[in-house]
Amino acid sequence: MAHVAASAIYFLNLRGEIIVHRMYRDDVGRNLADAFRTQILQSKEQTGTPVRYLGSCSFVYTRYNNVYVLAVTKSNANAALAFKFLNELITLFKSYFGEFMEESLRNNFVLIYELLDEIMDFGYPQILTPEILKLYITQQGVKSESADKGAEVVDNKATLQVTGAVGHRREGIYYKKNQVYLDIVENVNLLMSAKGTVLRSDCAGKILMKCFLSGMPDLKLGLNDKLTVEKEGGARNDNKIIELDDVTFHQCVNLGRFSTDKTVSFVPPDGEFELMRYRITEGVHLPFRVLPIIKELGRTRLEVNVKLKSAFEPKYHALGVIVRIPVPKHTVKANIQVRGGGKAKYDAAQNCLVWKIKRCAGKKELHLEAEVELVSTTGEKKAWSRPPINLEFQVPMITASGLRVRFLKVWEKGGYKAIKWIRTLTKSGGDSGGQYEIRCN
Amino acid sequence: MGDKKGNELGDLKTQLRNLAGSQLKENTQAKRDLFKKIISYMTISIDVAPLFSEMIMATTTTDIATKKMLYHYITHHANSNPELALLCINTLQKDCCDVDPTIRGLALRSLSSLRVSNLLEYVTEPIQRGLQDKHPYVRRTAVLGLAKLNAMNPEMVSDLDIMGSVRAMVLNDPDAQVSANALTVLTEVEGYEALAVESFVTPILKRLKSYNEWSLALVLEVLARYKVTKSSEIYDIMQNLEDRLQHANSAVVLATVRVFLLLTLPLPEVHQQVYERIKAPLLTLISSAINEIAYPVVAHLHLLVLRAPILFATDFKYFYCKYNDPSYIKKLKLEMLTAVADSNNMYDIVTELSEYVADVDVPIARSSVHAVGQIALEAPDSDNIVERLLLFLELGQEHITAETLIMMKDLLRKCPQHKPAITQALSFVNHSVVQEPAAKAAMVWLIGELSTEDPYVLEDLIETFADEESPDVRLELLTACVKHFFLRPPETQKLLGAALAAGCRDSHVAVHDRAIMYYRLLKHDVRKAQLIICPETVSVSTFTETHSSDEIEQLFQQFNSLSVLYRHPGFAFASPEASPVTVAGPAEDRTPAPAAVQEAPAQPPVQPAMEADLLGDLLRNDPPADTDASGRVQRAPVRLESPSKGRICATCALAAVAHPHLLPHDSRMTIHHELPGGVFLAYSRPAAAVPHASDCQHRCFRWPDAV
Repeated sequence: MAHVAASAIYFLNLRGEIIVHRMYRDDVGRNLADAFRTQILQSKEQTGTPVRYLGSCSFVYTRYNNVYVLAVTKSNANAALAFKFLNELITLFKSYFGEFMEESLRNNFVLIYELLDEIMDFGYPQILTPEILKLYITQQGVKSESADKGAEVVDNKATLQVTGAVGHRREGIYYKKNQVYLDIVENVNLLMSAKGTVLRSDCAGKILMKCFLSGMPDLKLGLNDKLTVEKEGGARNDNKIIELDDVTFHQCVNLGRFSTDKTVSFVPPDGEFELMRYRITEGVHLPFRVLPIIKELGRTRLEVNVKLKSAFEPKYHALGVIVRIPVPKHTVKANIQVRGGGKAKYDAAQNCLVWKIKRCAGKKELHLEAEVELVSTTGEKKAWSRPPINLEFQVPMITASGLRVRFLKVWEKGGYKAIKWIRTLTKSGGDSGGQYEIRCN
Repeated sequence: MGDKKGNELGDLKTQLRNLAGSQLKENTQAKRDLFKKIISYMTISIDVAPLFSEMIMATTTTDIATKKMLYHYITHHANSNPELALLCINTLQKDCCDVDPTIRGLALRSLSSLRVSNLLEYVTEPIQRGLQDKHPYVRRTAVLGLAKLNAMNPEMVSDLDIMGSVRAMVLNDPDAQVSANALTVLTEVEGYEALAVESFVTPILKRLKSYNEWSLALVLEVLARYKVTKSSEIYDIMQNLEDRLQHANSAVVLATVRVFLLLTLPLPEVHQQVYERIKAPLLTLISSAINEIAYPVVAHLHLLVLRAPILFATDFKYFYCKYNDPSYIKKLKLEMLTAVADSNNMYDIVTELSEYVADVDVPIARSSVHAVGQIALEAPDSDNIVERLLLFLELGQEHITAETLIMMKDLLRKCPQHKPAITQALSFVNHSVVQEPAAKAAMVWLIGELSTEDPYVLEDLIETFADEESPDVRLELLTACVKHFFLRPPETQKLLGAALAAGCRDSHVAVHDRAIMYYRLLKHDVRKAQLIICPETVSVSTFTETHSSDEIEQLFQQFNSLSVLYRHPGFAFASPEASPVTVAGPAEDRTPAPAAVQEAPAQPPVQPAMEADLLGDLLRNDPPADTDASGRVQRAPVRLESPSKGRICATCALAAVAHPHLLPHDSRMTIHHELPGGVFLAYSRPAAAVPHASDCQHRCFRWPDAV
């Protein structure tokens, strides 16, 4: 039974009260939410591990906004599957009612039961693809108070013929205007020492697609990565070739064809999806370099000197650059001067000097100088831990890895011409679980 | 309040009655809204069970949205209202023959989820019919219905004699989800082992690509149990599966990794290549955006790293912690960094670890110090690293000093060449700062061991002997005083007297007994006492690791399960039938292997009688947390006796073979020492506090045969 994901699924608020729950198997008790509340939420022992073993059951949980989603199982379950399932479930719910939070759950009881019924049966995950689920689900999500609460019944008899062949796409989709959007989004992660040595850097990229295509189109994507280019008999000289450390694909990609002839070909699901993810460690261009000098002058003063250099081509611009320079908790005020651009102020809530630069061209050098005054604390001998400087930015039009789309071909029986939109964006690691960090000690 | 609720229920009742008979179109919306209300009440745990009969009366509806809500209500309450549930059977059975496949499937699912044992007879027939249905949605529901039936009444399923056709469904059903669900049923009814045979595996492999990500995890699990007969088959299977390593779903990747690793176990060389192959996808997944997704992968990678650290030596940078990694991931990363440290990367790693020492999270800071100490212990020429370790003392933070002292103790035991450095560092430690029992005990031991240390330091500590809370520290104090006495009898006689007097007055059995033992030994013959208490120090060659290789192997067998996250074998926590894989494991471990005795001949043989006694004690004190786990959980204490760990100190022989972490935290175990001098020590400690050999408190006295 190793792949049972859950005997029961609970949705709890931050106080540990049940919002909704669904039992799938009878082998676990009914008062588990109490155990979760008293033993995990209120426990002083904050190990924080998202898996706990209590009273002969395993509690696998994750938190999203103000909701805990908890799966309970008695078996030695497949942990990765359980976590993945919970996350997919959250994504699915979001696709139905926008935000995943306590209020939206409370507004959508009936829909939630319906979904929970379809996506899991007897503790085994069934189908979580929103496209297919739409065929079975009768209720509509209530996105806000004002939205129409009436349920709209999909004509089931008409659409229930599919499943099987192409699991992620139903037949008979039609668009007047056939369009396909492709975004390469790269997150650059960096860990740099105060002296400017790169301790670790990598680039986690993903290719996001949005397809509004009629019929059953067959798409083929060509990138300038080493595998595919080599296979086509070497690149033209002007091309830079990228070596991907690792690639994962959406389930629509024909993995067999990728491993035999290195082409990324697929029948896309309708609408938005993530086509692939990749990781690159060699030859990542760092868009920004930061050189910090932070001096502690006695017990009450701190001198901060930060130099920020943009390393990309001058014709491009970085947007929304935010540099967070941590300062000690007992900071009173900071006297900040900025040269080169942006605005900076001391943010007591974050214990940081926040330096915001709305727009920054390439090959520029910016400076921040600050004198920070601290309250002299007596007795507390604890040294300041000097957390790292954190950088946030977006640079449209470039990829840190140098990855490019060489071609994107669309074939369909109908023979229409699809309009293709391709964008690239490089971001700091923040939202992909990574960081763009520069240490200060 | 109660009144209001009663009224509301009454209202609902009337409304239901009014709507029940009506089949009018315009009432559909009203009905839906009403049902929605009832379901919402149900969710916020208002008891709507009294409406059961009205609800059943309303079952004749043609609106599918209403039907769904209704069935949800019925399955929720049928369990507590078996008589009333009987009333809806008819409607459900009728719906099982509806023209709309959605309704057929829905009715069948509700019917098989009623969980009322005396209604089961009405369920079998629709299920059997459902298995033949032309629509996949009905078939997949029907097949899982069998699993539900099996959970309630296995005999009924075996009476149906239907497993043959379920097997055929796995292989031949055109719909992949039906096939996967049929496989699920087979694993529940017949178990994985029965399925992992060639006649079954080959066809499944052929249709592998049709399964969705969730089903794949199950199929791969079956494949993992498959014992190949010839090596060409191994390559075939791996070739078939290789592209799954590229899957975006981490569960599928881990399941594939499991198949690869288990398949190639008999071929060490290929096994190593497999390691190289699976590295990239795993390293990608550990940097996943969502910590909860990354966590199982990190835990599995951790297991693989401990199993073959050399293969990951060049990837150490992936294990660097990010500032806002959660502590459970940081902890695993620290352990991986420690494991992969070798002569090439060790300085980089120690530099990185030194950064984490400043972490605000105290356990992480301590683990970092511990990691540096561990690397120093393993490194052949570790002068520089020891220097780094000792530098931590200068940070002057209590928790860091404490952890550093503990590591210094281990270091001195294993690498006596660092004695000068350690002695010098110890002299800078402010003794009054150290309060934590383990650290204080380590410090006192160091003072006792380092003869150059000023014995007068001990005087202060002896003065507060009675106030010292931890018996461990008191024990160490006694020993340290005796050791100094042997070196400088005239100066320390008074000190020793005070220590022994305080020890004899002690209420703790162990402290009291040790004081008396020292007293008697010294009275009997000082020379011999010195032989016993301060024998020639033998440096420890290896510490008994927390993760011994057989433990790692055992976890490895359960790759891709919760076991790896808990770091406990499945039988210690999962319900027995859920983990058939563990059957093989403990059986091997139970064979008595007196390895400890053989490897350390200087130790007195463990007396069988005593062993039995200890076992009895453990069993009594080990009430399994879950009653039904009797079969396997009780095997855990049996494993405790397996002295296969080896390399342990004489007095800890029994304690160190134990796996105290397998026991419930509140259980206690008794440690017996029968000493040749006729002194008998028996004391009980919480099992969780029983030391591993690596932090054993009795290192100071060994028993040479000469006595």
